[in-house]
Amino acid sequence: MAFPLTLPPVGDRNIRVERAFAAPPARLWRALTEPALLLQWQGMPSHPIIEAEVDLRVGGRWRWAWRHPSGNLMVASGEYLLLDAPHRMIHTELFEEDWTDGPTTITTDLIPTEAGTRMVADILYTGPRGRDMAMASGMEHGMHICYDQLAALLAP
Amino acid sequence: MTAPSPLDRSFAALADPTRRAILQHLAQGPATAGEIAARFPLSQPAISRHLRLLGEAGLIARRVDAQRRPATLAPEGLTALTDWIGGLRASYETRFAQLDRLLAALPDTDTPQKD
Repeated sequence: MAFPLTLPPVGDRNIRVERAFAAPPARLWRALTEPALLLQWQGMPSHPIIEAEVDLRVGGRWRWAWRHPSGNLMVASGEYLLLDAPHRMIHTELFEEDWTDGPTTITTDLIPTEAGTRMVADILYTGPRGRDMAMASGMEHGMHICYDQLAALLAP
Repeated sequence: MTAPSPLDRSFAALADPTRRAILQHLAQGPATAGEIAARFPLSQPAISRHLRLLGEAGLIARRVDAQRRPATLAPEGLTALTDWIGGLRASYETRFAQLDRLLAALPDTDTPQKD
């Protein structure tokens, strides 16, 4: 079952990722925090995931590594700031050779619904380019609106 | 510091609210610096400077039309920006589809797995 992914613009340094899942929050929490499970879904055909280390406690660190098409490793790591299983997680994230120019702080809420879980992840860019990232998100939203308007205009 | 990429220049050009407002204005159709200046509380030289930066960022094109030189939006420049966020979206969509399959196969359990 494929649910739509939305990236609504919020605030001037945030991107929000919203997605529904057909599983209860506890199951989603496991998939978000257990290395053996992370290795099963966090990779991409172009960037297979080869490492997932998780020290799941407040102040604990995580580190994931993907194989970049160039053969180099793409590594992200960060710290868990809040763990309220299976409701809310706050963690930092920083990619090595990061062009966002600073870590992001990600607040993930797992909200139980009749069908399963609605996940809302708020990505706060803390670097000087945060505003640009947020704006690009807002622009995508704006572009969709523009395209919709264009489609309505072109409709017979 | 590495040299700014075209995407960096686009982001830098868009960081200014006046330049974003100029782009919004141009979304309605081509306009000259004079026409834009008439709608903003800025001098024509200031508007021209903003137009030059938007042009260098690849976000607008200037037609050489005798003295008029109207500015138009350059959709391909905007595409680089929306491609960036589109890449982010595609990455999430790919991984979440995999997560859907994993969740469907995962049994419910109240005891989180210990390492």
